[in-house]
Amino acid sequence: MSIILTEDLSFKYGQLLVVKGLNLAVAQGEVFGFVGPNGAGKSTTIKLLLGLLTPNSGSVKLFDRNLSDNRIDILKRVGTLVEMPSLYPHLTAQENLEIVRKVHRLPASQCDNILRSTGILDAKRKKVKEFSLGMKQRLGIAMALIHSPELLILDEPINGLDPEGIQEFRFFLKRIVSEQGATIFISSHILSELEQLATTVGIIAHGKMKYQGLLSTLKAQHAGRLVLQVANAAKVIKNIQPIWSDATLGEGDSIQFPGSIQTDAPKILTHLVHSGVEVYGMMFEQPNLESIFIQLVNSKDHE
Amino acid sequence: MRIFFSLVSSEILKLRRTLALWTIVLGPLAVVILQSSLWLNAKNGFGTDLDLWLTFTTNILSMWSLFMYPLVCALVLALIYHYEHATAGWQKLYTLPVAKWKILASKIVGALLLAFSSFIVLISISVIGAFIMDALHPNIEMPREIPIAAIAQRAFFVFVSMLLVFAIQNFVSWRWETLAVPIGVGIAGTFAALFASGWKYGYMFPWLMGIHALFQTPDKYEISLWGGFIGGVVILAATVLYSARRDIG
Repeated sequence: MSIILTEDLSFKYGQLLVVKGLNLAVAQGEVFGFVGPNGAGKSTTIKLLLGLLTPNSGSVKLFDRNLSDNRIDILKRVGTLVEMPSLYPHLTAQENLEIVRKVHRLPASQCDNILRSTGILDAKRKKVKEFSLGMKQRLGIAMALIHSPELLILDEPINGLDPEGIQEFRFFLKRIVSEQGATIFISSHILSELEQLATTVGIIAHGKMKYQGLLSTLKAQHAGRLVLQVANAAKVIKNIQPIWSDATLGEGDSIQFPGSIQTDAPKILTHLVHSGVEVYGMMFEQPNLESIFIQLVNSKDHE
Repeated sequence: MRIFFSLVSSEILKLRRTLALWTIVLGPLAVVILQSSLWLNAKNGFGTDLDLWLTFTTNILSMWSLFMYPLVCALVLALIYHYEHATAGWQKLYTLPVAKWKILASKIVGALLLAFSSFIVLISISVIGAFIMDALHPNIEMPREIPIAAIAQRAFFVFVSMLLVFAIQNFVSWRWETLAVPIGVGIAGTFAALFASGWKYGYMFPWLMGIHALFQTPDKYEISLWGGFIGGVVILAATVLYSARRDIG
């Protein structure tokens, strides 16, 4: 069953179409990374998923139920952190949690439980204006988790955190997934930030989905290239192009074999050596997630 | 209904340690101090013909309804809404599993309770102020019996007739994120009331409805009282309905 399912979802701000026919499917138990550059439509999509915005067309289904008809029942099962945590700085951590606890009609002890599991129990009587950004994020997560939701929707929760804070936050989320078994939908504008967390990713640019699927599949689809340093590359390439038509001249005296996988290397190398080509070096370049991301975002199928 | 009370109680919780809460004490205190000072300066007192309690509290209520309450109302509502505007609190509130109309309705009920409390604080401080005056001034002797029902009725009339001002300030504070707009509207309304007081239809001007209801101006005060009340309820209801249909961007 898909926990989140959108069909042909579109939304306009005035005349500007910011989400264009988005089809999103997030399965139960997944950690879904929703990635796109700033202004790609991530936050708008999240607001549509939470009923904060009304779509111009298309539908949103959460837990297999239409959001527009079952908003309250659905939101009982969802925890959210949209952009910065919405905290009242003049109140203490406990008082901020109380506001949410009362609405969910949970026992008072639940505040302490969730503060303990988010590691900020000691700061429960401290005013939020005295909190660091990392602590605020933890409290924001505590507010999202207080009612043990089945789905956690987090919009750019890593924004503004220092590297240590990011690592801590990542570790913390992993623990939440393993302990509570919740489905997590997390957005970011940096794909590599989600690499260690997300199992599945959706890449959005200009309001359109560019890729949706396993992170490992995405990497496999963008295979690396073999780069060989040879003597007189311009002459050598003429010799090998009848066999490897994709081969191109690289920087310096090098030849590139795009799309090659590591197992192709012995065959290419053997051929060159047998043809009397002097090979000085061999390198296998695997594109990193950022370059895959940039490639996808800049691909031409957007309007 | 229990959810609604939970929301109202959350709204009250949010007021802890806020300037909004202090305003409902400091506003009335300023008016009572000012009125008491004026009376303390009257060397010969006020004789025995006057109903001292009603005169003293009515003077306070007129100052309150004409100047201080509209400003207190503007400041308190602007601050209450600013806490949400400044923290992106609306996004959190509207993702809570409750009907959308209840979010703003609970906030309005919380703010109304606060506004009503300011009247209770005003009357309480007035009584304390009167006793202090009685102790300090050789020629002012407040009667031992306080006409609390009559005072409360006058205060209640002011509160009810000023509901329209409350509703206007509530709408402006909700609709505009900056503090400047609601406070500007509050100041502009209060000043405009000074000029409108001489106008023959002044009793229909929202910021003057309180004073007309207080003095029960013949042929006019019913319009001020009911007009303020019904106008206020209509605007508040319309704001709540509008908020339930509005997107949270």
